[in-house]
Amino acid sequence: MTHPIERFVTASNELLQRSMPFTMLCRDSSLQKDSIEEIKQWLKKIETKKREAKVRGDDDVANMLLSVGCALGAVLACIQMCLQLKNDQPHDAWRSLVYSQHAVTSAMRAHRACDNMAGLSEFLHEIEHQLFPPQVFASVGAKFSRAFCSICDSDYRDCNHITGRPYAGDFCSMVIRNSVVEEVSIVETPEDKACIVVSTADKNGRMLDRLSLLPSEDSNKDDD
Amino acid sequence: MNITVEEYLDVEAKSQSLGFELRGPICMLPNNLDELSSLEESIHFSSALTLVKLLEEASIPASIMEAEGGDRKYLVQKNVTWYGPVLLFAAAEIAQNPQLVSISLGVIANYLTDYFKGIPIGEQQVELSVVTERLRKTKTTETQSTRKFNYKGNVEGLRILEERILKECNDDSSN
Repeated sequence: MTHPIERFVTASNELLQRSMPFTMLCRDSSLQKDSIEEIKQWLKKIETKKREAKVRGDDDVANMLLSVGCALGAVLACIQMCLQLKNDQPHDAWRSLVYSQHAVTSAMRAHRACDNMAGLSEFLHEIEHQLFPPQVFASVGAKFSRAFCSICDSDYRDCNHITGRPYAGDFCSMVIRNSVVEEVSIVETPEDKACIVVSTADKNGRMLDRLSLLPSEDSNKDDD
Repeated sequence: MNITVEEYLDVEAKSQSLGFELRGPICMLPNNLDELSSLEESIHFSSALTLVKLLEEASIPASIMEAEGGDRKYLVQKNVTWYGPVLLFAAAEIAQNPQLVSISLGVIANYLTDYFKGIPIGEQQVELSVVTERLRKTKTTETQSTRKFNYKGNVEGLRILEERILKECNDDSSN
């Protein structure tokens, strides 16, 4: 007999497979919205089960649920990107794509359950180049004197947690509370692809939005 | 992949002048060691903090050359490239434990394999420096020099770096 958590993960994977076709731009928007809603409801269940696993001290299951949740989050964001593109919201669409790429990376790091997500990762990097113009990325270099652990809140030097690794359903990261920005550079491979140059001057010196090509003052950067 | 080798300053003498005692098989040197007049000015990449823990997991004690409890400075770059610290392997430690370089670079490679999951292969870049000491003995003299290996490339290339370091260490011991 299969363990309930295995059945839940299998059902999550089935939902993932069922939702994948809606990551195509041509799909009907109302079907895509339904798919987003279904994933959102399922993510709530994942959160509940993850909390339960954490309380039980079942770190492996909590990490597996973190992984599956990230994978579904990646698909959800990709469908959202399609809707935003259809709705003339290129900046929101870009941010959704970046979130989706980040989520699939997280899914693969969190647990071996999502080791097979390389195909989705490649797909997301491919659509970055097919659906959007080449971006100009900005990246920050900063200095800090002390970092804290996001898992146990102690000084990062003093605990055993390692940044980037999952612990009982959460990733460890260094929390930097006081930093001084040293430089901002234009780079090819930023950690955060959401940091992009948003406007550029045309030959008449008029500023244009780099994604929509509308004059910058007419572009609302999709912040609605 | 790119490996450059350069002659480096006398780390032992520099650390003494800064009042820092080199201890343990591996020490992470400040990025700006050659410019330092006091330890308070030292700057390390933030990866040094993580690497100390990773090496400790593999039972390799490691230290960071910096001021004790004082004003420390770490540099964080919001870039996909992993900027590793400057690792000093003391000659005596390598002689005592020839596997030290292999194990340490293996620890880094394992960590980075997870770190780069889901990142396109072309974007998986590592920058890291390794400093080793060289002791040359003749019948009448004994001279020490220090070399710095600067590595830029992917995770797999760390094996080539390891081979290059070990080859030069072996060349020294056979002289």
